[in-house]
Amino acid sequence: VKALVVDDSRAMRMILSRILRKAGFTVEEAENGREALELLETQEQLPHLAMIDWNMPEMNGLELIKALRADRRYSDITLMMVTTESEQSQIVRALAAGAHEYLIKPFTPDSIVDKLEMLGLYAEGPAA
Amino acid sequence: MTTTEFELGWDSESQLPDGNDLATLVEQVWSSYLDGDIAVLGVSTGSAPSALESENHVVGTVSIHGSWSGHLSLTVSHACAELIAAEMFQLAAETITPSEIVDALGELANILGGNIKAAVPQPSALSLPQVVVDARSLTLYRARHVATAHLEWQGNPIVLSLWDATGTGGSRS
Repeated sequence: VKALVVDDSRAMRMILSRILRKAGFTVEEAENGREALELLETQEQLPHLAMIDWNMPEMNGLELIKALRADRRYSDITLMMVTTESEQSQIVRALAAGAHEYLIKPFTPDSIVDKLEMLGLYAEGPAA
Repeated sequence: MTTTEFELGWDSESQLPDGNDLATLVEQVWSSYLDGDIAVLGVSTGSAPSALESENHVVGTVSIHGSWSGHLSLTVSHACAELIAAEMFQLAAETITPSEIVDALGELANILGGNIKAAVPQPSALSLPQVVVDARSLTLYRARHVATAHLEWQGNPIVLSLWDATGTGGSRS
């Protein structure tokens, strides 16, 4: 199972990638929405999951989600917003734009695993 | 769809976070991303915060703009910033670079600020974080101190302060 982590903080990308690798994912990273779109253009096998920060320079997470949802090549990618934006109005905006799930920072590894299970992306359990 | 949300004690409709709220928030963020116990040394509301004794501070700030405007500042010693970055990057502290300190402290400030933003009058927007390494002082233009929490992690002081700049057009200087 393949995942893409999009966050302008390298520390946060590493934290998310560690959790996902323990859950059996192979992970690629991008530091903003524009870089994520460029990376996806080069992929033969698209990720099953994209974990996307909201507040990023150049192209933010909401803009990225809208761009992905407007392109049918990416319609099978599950989109999870992972952000500090915790107001209900922001959650509604992200879901309306096409996010499947929403996770508020700070998160715990268990909270991410719970989300993966809910999304059916953790069926085989953690990697050995 | 569900969300994961940490329970914080303040009533966002009627008041701003106080020092205890800030301390609780730091404890929650630290427990999510960093190992080791964090202890609350004290809190203050209204009165100006006391500075760290070390001159070589690292300060991460984020600003909130909107119906309520203000700033959040996270201040630690340089040694503490290295330990934080080392834990987040899972590297030895002596190998940590200034850019890794900026990244780690910026992300912590961003997470802390995002949670504060949810507790102030809406609508409001959060700025991208800014980090100053080896800062000797922090000046926030026309900002009124709201509250500060003093904590300790691995023997190092951590100070989180909230500043109100509503109606002043205040900004970082």
